[in-house]
Amino acid sequence: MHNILKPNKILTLIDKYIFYLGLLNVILWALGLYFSFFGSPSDYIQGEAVRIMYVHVPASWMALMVYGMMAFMGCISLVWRTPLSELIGIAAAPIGLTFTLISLITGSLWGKPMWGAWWVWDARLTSMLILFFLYLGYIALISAFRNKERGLKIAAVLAVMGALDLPIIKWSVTWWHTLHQPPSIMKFSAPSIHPTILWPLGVMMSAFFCYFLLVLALRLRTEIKKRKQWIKGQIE
Amino acid sequence: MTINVRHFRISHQTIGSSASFFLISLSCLGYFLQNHPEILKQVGPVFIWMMTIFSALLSTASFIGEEFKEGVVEQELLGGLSMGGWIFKKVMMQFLDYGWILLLIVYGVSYVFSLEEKTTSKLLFTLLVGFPALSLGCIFAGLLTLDADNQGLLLGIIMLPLCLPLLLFAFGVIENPQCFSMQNGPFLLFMGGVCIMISLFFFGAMCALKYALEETNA
Repeated sequence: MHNILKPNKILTLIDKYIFYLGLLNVILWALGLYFSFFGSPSDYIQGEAVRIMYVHVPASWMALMVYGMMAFMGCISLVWRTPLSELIGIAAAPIGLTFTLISLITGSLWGKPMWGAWWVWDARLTSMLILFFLYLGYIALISAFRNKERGLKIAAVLAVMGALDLPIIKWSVTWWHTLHQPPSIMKFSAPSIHPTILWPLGVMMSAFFCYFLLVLALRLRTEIKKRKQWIKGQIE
Repeated sequence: MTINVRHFRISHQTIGSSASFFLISLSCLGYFLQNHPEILKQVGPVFIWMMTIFSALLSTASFIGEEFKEGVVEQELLGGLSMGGWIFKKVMMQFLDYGWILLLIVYGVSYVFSLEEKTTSKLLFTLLVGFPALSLGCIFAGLLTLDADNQGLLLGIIMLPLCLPLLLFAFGVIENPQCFSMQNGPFLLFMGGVCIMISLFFFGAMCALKYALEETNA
């Protein structure tokens, strides 16, 4: 694992591909925004409000995916003690927190016209709020110790434990009676969304994912450069 | 593995405040909603669960911290007790010192809240089964934040998200009109959730204890 997660190798990779990643971001965002606003129909019940979905759904998926990745990196850093996996966790956490916040805010904006309330203590919404606090806890833990190395280890443990919330979020709409709609894409049968809406959603999802990769790469580069001495000590 | 007077002396310092907080908060809810018995019946079980989590949170920092300060943990581990054994003992101590008092209070309060017998039994069952998971969660969070700056705030941020799923599962059981059976979905979810949480928190607490000891020795 130490051979795969080599900081220098990752730095070279980032420097080599960061421009193309940026370019891909511009293209995907332009396409995604065009299709979301002009290239897809409005809903026959929800009207134009349905367009919030093109931000809300990708942000929610990314929030879950980023936490899943952090938990995976936490596992790696606990087992193999690779410094890079810890740095990936540090770099990804604020991005995941932002995605969760976007998901909660856009969900709230969507909830008001559809349900008549900004917020309900629904299982899906509550479990998403829990994820938001998990991100906050992770970030707070890293900086809570004078010994920074200990903060990183401890935060990795929390990331692994917090992964318990991910299946709860995913299946909350199936397990409990909720106002939130049941899954319409990630389910065993075929997606129940019309292709004219599904495709723009897919493009926006790709745009969000590329944006995450770009910001993660930039943040990771900064973290590696900032902690060069520490990484050296860890590898030796 | 023995639980002696010394352990109780340490935990007594923290348990009193938690139990008082629990009792006072429940009395306040009962007092303010005395003219709305239907609302009290509806929100009572969830409020009791919430307060259980909060009161556990209140005692966590000193419950764990005091033993580390006095060097009790190192002595015990040097005396041949395993880390898993130490964690198990802490859960036992918390139940013996606080858990059963909490259940008694809940039993008494359920009469004041006019909860149905079925609801009370479900509530007591979820508290009894969920207590080890909650206790392990407290130990895990307490060990994780040992010596951290702003420990109280951190404990809240960590403990609440980790323990709220337990509340959600327990509420599913209490809300369900069916009794406990293997065909009852919420019941199975609760039991499964508790089992997963116990094993995860136990693993997490072991890791956190290892790191806390490494830090103390350094």
